[in-house]
Amino acid sequence: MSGVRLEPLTLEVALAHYAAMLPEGKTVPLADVARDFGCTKRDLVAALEAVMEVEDRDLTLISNIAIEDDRLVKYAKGGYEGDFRRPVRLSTLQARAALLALDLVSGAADPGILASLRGKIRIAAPGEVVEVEAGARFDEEITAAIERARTGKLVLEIRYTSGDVTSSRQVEPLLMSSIEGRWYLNAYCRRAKGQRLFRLDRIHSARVLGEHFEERGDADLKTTFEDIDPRGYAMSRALVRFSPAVARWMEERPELDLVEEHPDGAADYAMYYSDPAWAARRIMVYLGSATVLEPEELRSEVHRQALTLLEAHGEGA
Amino acid sequence: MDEDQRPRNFAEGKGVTLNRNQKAAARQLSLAAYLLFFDGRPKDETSIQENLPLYRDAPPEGNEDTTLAADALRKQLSRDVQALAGAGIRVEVDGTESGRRYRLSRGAFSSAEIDLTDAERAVLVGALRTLRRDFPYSGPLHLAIANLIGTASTGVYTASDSGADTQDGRAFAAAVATRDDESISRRVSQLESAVSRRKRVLFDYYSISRDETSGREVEPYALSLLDGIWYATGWDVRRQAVRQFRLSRIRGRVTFATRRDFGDFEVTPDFERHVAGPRAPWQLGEPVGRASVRVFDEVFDAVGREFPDAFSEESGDEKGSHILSTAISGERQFAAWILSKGKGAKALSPPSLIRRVEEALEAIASAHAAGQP
Repeated sequence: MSGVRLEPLTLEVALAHYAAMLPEGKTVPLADVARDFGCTKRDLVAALEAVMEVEDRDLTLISNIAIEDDRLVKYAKGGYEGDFRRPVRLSTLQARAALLALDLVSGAADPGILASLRGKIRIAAPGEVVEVEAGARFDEEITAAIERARTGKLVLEIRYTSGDVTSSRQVEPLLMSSIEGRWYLNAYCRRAKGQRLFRLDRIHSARVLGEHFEERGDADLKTTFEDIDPRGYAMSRALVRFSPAVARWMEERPELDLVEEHPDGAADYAMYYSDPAWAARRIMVYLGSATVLEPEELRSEVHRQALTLLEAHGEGA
Repeated sequence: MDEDQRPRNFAEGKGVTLNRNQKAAARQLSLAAYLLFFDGRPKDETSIQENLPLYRDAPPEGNEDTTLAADALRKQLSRDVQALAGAGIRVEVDGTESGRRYRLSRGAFSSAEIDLTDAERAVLVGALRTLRRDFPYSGPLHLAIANLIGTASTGVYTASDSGADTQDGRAFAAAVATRDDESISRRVSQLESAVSRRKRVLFDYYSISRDETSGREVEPYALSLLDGIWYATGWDVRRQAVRQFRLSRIRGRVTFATRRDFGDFEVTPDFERHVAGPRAPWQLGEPVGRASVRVFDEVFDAVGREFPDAFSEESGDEKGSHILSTAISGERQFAAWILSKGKGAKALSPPSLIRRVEEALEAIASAHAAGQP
């Protein structure tokens, strides 16, 4: 996959530092170096050739490295001036990449460690770093408790909302996973006596208990969209008609399947669900622009919820 | 190793032939090494040219005019100083009548000693492993880690493969899945370059609200990755307003509007960065008024976490609820959010919002009544 291109010279500078630090006589396969620096072997060789060509004031090549038999060879000690033994400051792009990476894993890491790392990355950058906005916002006490319980194999007590019900559960945390930008806790739930996936933003509190747990076999970790795709586990399928005013937005909803487009711009989509109350709320947010065609069970639930809310709204402020 | 045992390609006269980019990189590295040796003491252009062979062919070939030669050398040095700055190396340049002087201190080359703890290293390397498959910034992230940790000195990757990142029980493990395709990754790359270099860009964009595709000329200020979706925020030149663009709605390629290397625009001073960040769906445009809502205890915590900056609390703990107010640009979107909370939220003002919610509920009830088609 094509990604963000490196700034010119950054690979060469990092390799100069690498060359300065390699011990004399060390040889490393080029493929390993390319893997560690995240580049192709071709780009690596081009950068190494430039690094090797640098001469000092006596017209002496100063890298003390060479390419031989598809390996990088440090043939003499030293190499470059001593200053290249110190890592260069991060480029702005490198700092931005590192800060974004931390944001993207922040649902799974100790907030204190993240804050410390972020501070060090900013110190290592040459100036102010304009960050990619990632919008990662979590309750730090909760993420810290989950991380402490997971790494220490300690039972965690969480208050969690599922549907309309909020309750306490004791869980054995296994892994945090981020799918489509949303964080989940993979854990064994002692109340359900099985592995469950808990949305991080629905965990209201988390408390580490003193009890250790032993890892259970056959962990079934959910880490990809396919793992949580409702098509795979939902108990029911509804047919929903979206009016022309909102139908085109549904094309960007991966959890819906287009069934039929109508000449007036309306479209029918299949929606998968297990909890009719949850599905009804999904329908209501379209303010009347979505109508359940079937099953009758869901139509009734939408009707019931609409009347209940109408009544509640009629009760005054 | 004796000199005569050096690998063959280092024997005199058997070096590889470098292309233009490689020559530039070698020259820039030699300049950094030379200036670093003097640790902040200034060196003039003559000294640089005399001591660094890669600068000796700076003047155009056959040019006998020393003024032009000096000018060419200065331009080349200027380009090299800029390239070094892009790589994080800030060479200072002093202008004098007799010529410019260049200096690079060790402190400007390398930051103060960055000492990462085992746990910090584990998180950083763990982030790379977690994201490496399709993270568009994977290349720069690799180099950031190499520079922060020192790949060769610590063997961080091989060491962590054997469990070195599990010291203190701080093993980092997570899974991050995205479904960005190749075209999104290319757009991120092009727009990252445009944001960094302040380059104006052109692209065709599908406006889903208007259901039409039109050409856009945009000065991109920032990139965002919100809920797994990439956005670019910037000044829409034709609409004379800051707009946010979802990268998946860009049609075709993103191209630069000019051939300049750098600086097509300045970021407008009143640009507020939070505009590029997560915003409540009813606050995506210019505010048109305020609305208030009663939020009951059962959803109050979640509301605070969902949109921490969207609301201000008017009063609390009344009837087990809180009255919140919010600026709105889209009343329909706010009404939808209220209904998404079920009995947990209730519209209080303005009257048009209350009417909208009630009319929506009546329409929903009517459309789903028994016997309706």
